[in-house]
Amino acid sequence: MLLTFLIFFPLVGVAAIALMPTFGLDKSYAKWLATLTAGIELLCSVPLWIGFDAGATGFQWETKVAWIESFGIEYHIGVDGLSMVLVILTALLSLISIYCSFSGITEREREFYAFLLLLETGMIGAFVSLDLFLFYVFWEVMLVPMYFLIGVWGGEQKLYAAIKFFLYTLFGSVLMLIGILLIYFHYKEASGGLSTFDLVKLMQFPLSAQGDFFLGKSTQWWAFLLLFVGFAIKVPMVPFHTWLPDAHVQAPTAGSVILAGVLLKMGAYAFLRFSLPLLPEASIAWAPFLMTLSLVAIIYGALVAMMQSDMKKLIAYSSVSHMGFVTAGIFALNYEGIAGGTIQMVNHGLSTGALFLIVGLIYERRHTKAIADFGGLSAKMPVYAMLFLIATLSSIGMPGLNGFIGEFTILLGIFQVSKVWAAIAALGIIMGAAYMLWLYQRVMFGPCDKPENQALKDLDLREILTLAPLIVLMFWIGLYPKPLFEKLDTSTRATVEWVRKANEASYGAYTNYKHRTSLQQSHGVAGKEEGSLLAPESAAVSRSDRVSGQVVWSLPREGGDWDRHSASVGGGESR
Amino acid sequence: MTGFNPLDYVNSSDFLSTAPELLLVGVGLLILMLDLFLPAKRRELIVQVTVMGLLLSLAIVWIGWPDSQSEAFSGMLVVDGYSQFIKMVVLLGALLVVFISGRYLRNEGIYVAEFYELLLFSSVGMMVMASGANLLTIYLGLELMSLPLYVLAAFLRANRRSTEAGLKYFLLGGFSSALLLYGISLIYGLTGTTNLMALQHSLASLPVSPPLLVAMVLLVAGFGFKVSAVPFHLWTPDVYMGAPTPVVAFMSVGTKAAAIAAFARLMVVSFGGLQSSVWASMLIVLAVGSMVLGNVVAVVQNNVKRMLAYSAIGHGGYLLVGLIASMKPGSVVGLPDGLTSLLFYLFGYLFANIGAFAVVIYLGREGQHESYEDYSGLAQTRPWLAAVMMIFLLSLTGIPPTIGFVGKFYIFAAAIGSGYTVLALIGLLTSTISLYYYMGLGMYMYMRPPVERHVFYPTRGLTISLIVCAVATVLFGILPQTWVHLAQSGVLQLWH
Repeated sequence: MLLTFLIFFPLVGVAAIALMPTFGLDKSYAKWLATLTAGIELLCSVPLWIGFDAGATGFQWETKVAWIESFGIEYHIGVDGLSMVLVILTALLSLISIYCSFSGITEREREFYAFLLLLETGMIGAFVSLDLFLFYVFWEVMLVPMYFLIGVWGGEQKLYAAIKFFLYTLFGSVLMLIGILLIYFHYKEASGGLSTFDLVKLMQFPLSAQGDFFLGKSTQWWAFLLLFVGFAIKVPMVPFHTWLPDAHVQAPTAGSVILAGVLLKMGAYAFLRFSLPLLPEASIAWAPFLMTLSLVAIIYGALVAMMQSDMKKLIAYSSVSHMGFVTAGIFALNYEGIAGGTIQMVNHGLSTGALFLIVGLIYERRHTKAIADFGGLSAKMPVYAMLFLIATLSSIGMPGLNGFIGEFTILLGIFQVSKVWAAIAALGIIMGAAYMLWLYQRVMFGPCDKPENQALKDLDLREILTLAPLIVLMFWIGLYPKPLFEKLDTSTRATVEWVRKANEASYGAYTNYKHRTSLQQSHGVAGKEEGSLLAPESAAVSRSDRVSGQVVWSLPREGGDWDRHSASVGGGESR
Repeated sequence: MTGFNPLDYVNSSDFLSTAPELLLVGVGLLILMLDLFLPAKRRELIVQVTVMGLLLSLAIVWIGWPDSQSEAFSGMLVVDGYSQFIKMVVLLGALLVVFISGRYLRNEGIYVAEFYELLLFSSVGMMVMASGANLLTIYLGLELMSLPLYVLAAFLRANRRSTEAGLKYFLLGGFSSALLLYGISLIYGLTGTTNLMALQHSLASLPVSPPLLVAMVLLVAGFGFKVSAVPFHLWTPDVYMGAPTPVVAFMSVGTKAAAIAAFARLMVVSFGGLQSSVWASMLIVLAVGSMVLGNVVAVVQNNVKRMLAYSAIGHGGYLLVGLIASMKPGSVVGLPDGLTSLLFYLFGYLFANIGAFAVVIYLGREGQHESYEDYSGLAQTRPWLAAVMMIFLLSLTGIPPTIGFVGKFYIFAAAIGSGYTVLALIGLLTSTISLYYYMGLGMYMYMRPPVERHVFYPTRGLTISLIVCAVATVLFGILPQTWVHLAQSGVLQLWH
């Protein structure tokens, strides 16, 4: 019930805002109604964290009600560690994005806050859905308010950016829908006429005597490809990222914060929630490809970010780079990679959300986002400079702040798969430091020679308050990430275990025999480090070691080996 | 022919099972009489009688919802859940159109009584088509549906575009009816029967021959015209643009529903999987053509009615996908999912499309063509109107949580289930294209500055129909189970 409340409570706020004229309320109350709604929402999401049983497997706070019986569609919601954290992040960023719009949004306020709350419903719904159909519904519901947020309150090119965002995402969604239907029909066939979109039921389908999943490998391969396009557009992964800079640059601050903080997580989350559990063999087969795309995104995003003259665009491209880390971690397909990827999702939400807020603050004062228009601001706005610095350092992965924890863990994961790839990813971190610090330097240091910048006011209390929770969380994750890792531990482990089982079932001893020995050497080191840093119990470490061992098909020097695998996967059901 | 007594062929249950149709005929005749004797001031009564008649007919359909198929008039008509579902769609459509037409007719100064009368007779034609179990009754229904529509299309006598629309529709419609009739006569020549059930037996033993193929092509052409499937769509944009808007709203839903219902019955009952590859290959061409052309050409329109016309072509294509999905290659009997999805899609299309046309009427001005600019900034001047229009547009695009999404989902699920994955892919991609022009209108409403426009106050009927359409679009989008189930059980009765 708590989750159902969390999904639909923002709609109460929407209704209240819509009915304001009926009760004779002035439109200036809209922002307070929205803040109140989002505030209650955030408060009510806190019990999720407190009451979450980190040791329990499976989903918690589950609700399951038959919905459309004819297709076996259920209203099935629940959270595990992964989605629980993201739900709270969503509630927090929604409140912040509402609160930060008080001064920036002066036109059509009621609609603005109504759309933001509607968006919150869509996002939380998507994160807690355990039924593919339900997930798809919420996934689409998110699009409409975001389209309006960009299109109505955006910058000069808002119409173009809004429709581009909508078209791109819908294009991915329809492919995803076909992928979902493929899974549905194959399950129906394999189970002798049972129809369900329920993730848990689909996963419970027992392995057949041959050890195959209900989905044959070729079906998995296609389903993965279709889902991949949908998810990759949302992440966005290169080469599907081109909507992102437009959307970010044109969106109002609140839109950018939500977009970067939550919507981009949706794609990575969906990989973890649906692709890996439902299509494990295909995930393994596609992993080298996705890993390559992720690394390209890391480097390409960083390079392009370096060349930007617009602050928002720079941060948008940095998002491409950072999300590349997340997907790289996920498709390392080992414990460290996935745990790191999840942490990095949260981190990116915090740091990039904060950065967009920071750009928004200066944009409200100066109505420009061009880097060249600034310089030497640190003297005029010391508080602003400090907060900007913390967010920057968080973004580039400075030890002691949250970014470091995520990136380091991801690197641990990639390292086990390939040292070369880990080196490439690490290069991305260095480049990230370069473009972010260069941005900071150009905006904050040097002479403050522009006359328009002379009279800039430092942040007021409300503005500090919007940033404060993010800054606190950055330090908290950076200094003491253990609680977060613990909450995520069970779900991460379950995912890795599941993929490992599939790997063993489908490729059997063949893969392991080839790579295990070479792996265990490089592994021991990583394993120890990981043990000291994150894992609560050493048994778990050895398990995750074993897990990683299964997935090492993808060492680049064994590239031909992977080719053979994908050929066998594409080749058909029979082995 | 001694001793021929027509009453031998009729019994009282026949009248009972065709009560909804007969009632509407009676109401139509009553209106004719009322029109003669009523003083001009009391004309409103005609509208009320029409609404009562339609409601009563709907109630009869609803109360007498059959559990199994029954025949009437010696097998010329059948009554089953399938036919009743279509009748429900037609009647709901007619009812909503009556509600939205009051304002329009008054604005345009069109005489009232004949409009409603023709609307009723056309609805009866559609209902006969839905129940038709004989090629002849289907043809009769088709003509009864079309002839009033030809007149209605040209109802704005003083308007050049409207008369042109009427004439165009009449000429091309007559041509397509002739093609259909020729196809029917070929079938009759080959098999010696026009009864759909009897056809099933005759066709089963009939080898594939050129005359049969020609007959099939002619049937497809005849029905394709009514569904405005490419390449038989050429009349659609002009007729939709010229004809009175309520008529267009009625045509876009009712004609499609009736024509595709009769066609589907012919295909699954008479052919029942025979020559399914021939049917499928013809229909796939039609479906893909309609989906692609309808949606792509709609993108470049700058007139809302014309855009809705092209999008209607696209929706015709989606309906055909449902029909194709009911023919799994190699299966003897069609798959129920395809037809069920088709029925459900029609049900959803009804509310969204008539709702969209209701908004067009709401904002319509005399002598003006409805351009996108007329919708500029609507969200600021009339937020609720813009919001309901947005709901209709989202439903037509197929974005949840609207009924249009469930409809599209079901149709494409059925297509994938029958193995037509590529067809589903094309359909879904074209619906992505449709997003562009539907949201184009949304963009005008929400993201452009408001324009000066005449402030019209809506009639009560218009308000009611807008609310009904919007609520149904969202509510049944969230809770579609009742209707899915109703359609499912109806389709299963087709074979019994």
